[in-house]
Amino acid sequence: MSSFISKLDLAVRYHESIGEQHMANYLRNQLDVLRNITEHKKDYLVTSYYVPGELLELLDVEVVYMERLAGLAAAWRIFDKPVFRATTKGFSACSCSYQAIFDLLIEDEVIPKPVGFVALSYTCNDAWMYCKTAAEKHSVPFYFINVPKTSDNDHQKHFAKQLEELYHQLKISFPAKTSMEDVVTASNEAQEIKSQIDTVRLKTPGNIIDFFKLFPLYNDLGKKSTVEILKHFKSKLESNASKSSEDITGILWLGVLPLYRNSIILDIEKKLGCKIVCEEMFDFGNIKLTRNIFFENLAQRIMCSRFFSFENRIEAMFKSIRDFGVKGIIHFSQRNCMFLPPMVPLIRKKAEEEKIPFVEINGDVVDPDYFDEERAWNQLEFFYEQIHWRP
Amino acid sequence: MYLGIDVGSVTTDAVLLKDEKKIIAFSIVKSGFDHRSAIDKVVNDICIKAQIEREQINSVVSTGYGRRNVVEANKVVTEISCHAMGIHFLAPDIRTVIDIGGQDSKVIRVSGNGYAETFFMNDKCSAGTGRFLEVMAHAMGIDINELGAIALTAKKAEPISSICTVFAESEVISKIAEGKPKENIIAGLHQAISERLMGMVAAIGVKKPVALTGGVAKNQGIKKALSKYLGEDIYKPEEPQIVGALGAAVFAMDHYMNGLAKEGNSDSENKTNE
Repeated sequence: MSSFISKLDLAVRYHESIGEQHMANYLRNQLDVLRNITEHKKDYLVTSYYVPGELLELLDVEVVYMERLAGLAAAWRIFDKPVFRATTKGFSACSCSYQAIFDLLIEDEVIPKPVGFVALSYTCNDAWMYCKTAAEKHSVPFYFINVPKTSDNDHQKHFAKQLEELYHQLKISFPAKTSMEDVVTASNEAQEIKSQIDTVRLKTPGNIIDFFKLFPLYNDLGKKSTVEILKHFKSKLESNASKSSEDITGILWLGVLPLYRNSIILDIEKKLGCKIVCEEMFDFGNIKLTRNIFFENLAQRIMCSRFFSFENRIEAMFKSIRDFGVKGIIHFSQRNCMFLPPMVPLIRKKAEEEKIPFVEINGDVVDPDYFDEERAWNQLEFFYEQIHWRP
Repeated sequence: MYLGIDVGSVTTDAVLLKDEKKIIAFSIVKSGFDHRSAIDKVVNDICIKAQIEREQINSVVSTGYGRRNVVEANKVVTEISCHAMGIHFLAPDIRTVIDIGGQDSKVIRVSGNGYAETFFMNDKCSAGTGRFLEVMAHAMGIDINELGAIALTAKKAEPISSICTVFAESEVISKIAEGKPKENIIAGLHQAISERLMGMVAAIGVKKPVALTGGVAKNQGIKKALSKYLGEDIYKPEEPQIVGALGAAVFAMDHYMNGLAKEGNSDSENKTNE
């Protein structure tokens, strides 16, 4: 048993023992995937975050979302100094560290080589380019969709057609597994529970860390297990709702969280006397699917997602600010990421117009070597002064 | 009396203020590796200069990278807020501060009442800091304090394409080997550091007038290069190194006055209750 599997297994049992069934189930699913591809030698496809889970759930193949597996490897510190190690194997130090870790997982034979890579040009150029390069390196197929940059009707239809073609292309190599009806039912049920979760958290924002841990469930829409995880999560949130404090300075967290140091959220709340009440990742788009326009719905969901355009993100961000009564914004910018951090100057400007204190923290979410926590605290203390002293 | 102490990476500075917001004395000592000892030294020094006893100080606010080491501090404030308040004390019209310290540099936008509105700090990198100039001065065998005056004699600035300290040092060595005049190379270095700083200014948007603070502000070459980029003369306080400590002293005064006001309020509340 690899150390990755044993650490995941331990995490599953730990969460079960403390009654966090949602996390235990979520991690068990990842453990099963890992066991299937390593111990049971099952074929698997690698894909990036926005490739719809429902499309792949129709097929009999294991799917590994590379950012999620890399994130789990980072959280359990499977590699020491991952970026440095990846560079010694020819990976550029200027690349995305998620990809560096994923590359190491294959290079170090923690996981076997995949049978193909599936990528969309949205959201991240680096992600699909990595998939393309890795597919060439491992001599496996690369399935790709160039997502239109505008979301009008024609482009949406064209994108839907491309998704359908991708499905038929994949079906040649991988037989059908789940019926479309079952996938649609599970996806819609999950979206329904997600809406109920949003209602609960709007009333009483709980511990935000679980939202960070569970946002990759977006990749598992269409699976029955996701419905169960969300049910457990909702019931946990409801039971904790009464414990939440009302009198808080609410903060919005943008971007991701250092996976090796997610407790920084609790430290910030304690030291700055505030509460991180909302993040932007736990957002599944809330588009219900129908069987006859399945691919159109998937295309629509992607094109309506908050990261599809700067305008979408700003609109969603300021809706959260209003809904949660947010008093300040923290943006964690991932090192070398060309996707979210380039929007920071515009967000900073908008926040300034709205008179909402804004702070950008820079670091690397998977490699602790690139996170200067001392510097981050200096910035956060000033952020606190801005919130509390501004006349 | 109110004391502000700024414990920086290179120097520890202190400013003593009187009730009517008048600077009584200031002191600058090397921080070294023992912050506690530097703090003790700067407090002793300022007390001697002001001819007072430590007990006469009503309130102390500490700031800077080593601010947590000031055990006497009644309050701790970030250097971002202190630089904004310090410059406001000296020149209330200033709306942007470029602070170039030994190990970091930052650009701070200041509101009309002296509070910092927003800021931008250089990343974990010595480009655009005093350390950059120190390395270059060392590479050229020149005293760092002479760089500014030498740069002012340059006929043209020799372009330095790299903003990375390590690469720029190699570039300087190559230029020396090519026989380029030292004043032109130094002017080029000042131009490179100014370009880096202007990038930071652009990140938050400049509001004029602009002031230059921190130890590096004493370098006339930097002031000249930055003024050229900004298209107007940049304001430099008489002693640009103590602006952070001065802001801390202003906060120390506010802290003390607020305490008195609260005591006054609770006294009057008590009297009402009686």
